[in-house]
Amino acid sequence: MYAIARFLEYWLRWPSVENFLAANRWAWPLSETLHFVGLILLVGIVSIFDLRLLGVAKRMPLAPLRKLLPWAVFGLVLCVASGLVFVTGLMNNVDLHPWVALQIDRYLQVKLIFVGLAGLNLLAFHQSGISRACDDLGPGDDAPPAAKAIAGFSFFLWIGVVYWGRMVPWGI
Amino acid sequence: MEILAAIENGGWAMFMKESTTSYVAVLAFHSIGMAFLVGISAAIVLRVLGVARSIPLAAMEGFLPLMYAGFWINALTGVILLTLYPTKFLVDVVFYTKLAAIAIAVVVVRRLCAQLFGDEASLATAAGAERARKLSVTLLGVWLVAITAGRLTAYSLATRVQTAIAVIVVAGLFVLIWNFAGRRLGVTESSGPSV
Repeated sequence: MYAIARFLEYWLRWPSVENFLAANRWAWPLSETLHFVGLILLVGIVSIFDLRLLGVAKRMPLAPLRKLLPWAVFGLVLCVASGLVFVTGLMNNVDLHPWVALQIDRYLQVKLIFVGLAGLNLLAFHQSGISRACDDLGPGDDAPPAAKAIAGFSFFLWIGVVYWGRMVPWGI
Repeated sequence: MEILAAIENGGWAMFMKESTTSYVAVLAFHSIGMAFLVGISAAIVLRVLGVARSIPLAAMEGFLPLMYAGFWINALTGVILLTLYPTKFLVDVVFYTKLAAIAIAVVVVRRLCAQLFGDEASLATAAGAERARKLSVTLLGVWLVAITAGRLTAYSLATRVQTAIAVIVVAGLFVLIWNFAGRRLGVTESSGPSV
């Protein structure tokens, strides 16, 4: 446990990122903007997928919607990349080590738990075979109850990620 | 200005500002509304611009209520946030830029939805498809302006100018990649919308 703590303490703070942010005032707000663009793509597209499984827009077949999912992944990549800038360069903004912030910021902790649960929920959707059962969902078809439960949980979790994520600066 | 100061220092504004949880919760719901409003419209726009052409456009109409819900969440939370700091926001050109971008976005969304979900036949013509494409590109542009301006209200003039230039450069790079490599990478399947 001590080794993990030392590992995170070392790797979560990147002086090179701090120096870059200090030398380029635009970098932090640009990262914020990209974080928002990322969450819009991720949450917007995942919501569409979840809502269809829940029975909204039933005229929509499910299979074509999967082709939008790479854009949700692109949104996730934007969020993770810009999020890493916030974490590793945190000391440019506040006099607090990111490892300490991770330990004291309850909002950040809840957000990360929600992200983790959303990942596990997605894993359950694919590994349980429910995803395959939804492949042939055509116009007017109802998703299986298990798929609806997973979609409802996913919708709740991603709204939660945005909610707790916006709270993060106030938890430090 | 005195009226604005009175609102800013009134009981409601002081309660919200002193209750950090309430203030931040309003900010958080503003972000959730943005995700629904811009996220759903972005998905429709991507479809119009040639992404995932097998999605039946008409069926996307079913997701519009969530987009409208996002708009009304943001209108409500936006007004609440404005009442907390009116003397700051109502003299800020960046805030007016954000409002102008949102106003244009609302007009464009209405026109685009009227065409996509009320005049599908027009998409089969070159002129109709081009109109939908132009509206879609405009919508992405004004949403990016609104999001960026929303962030920049918190920064100094120099940082605002530098960030605006940085956002334009990043958006330009994205457009270049989209135009030159989009089809090759399989991002877009065709240049125009189809029903």
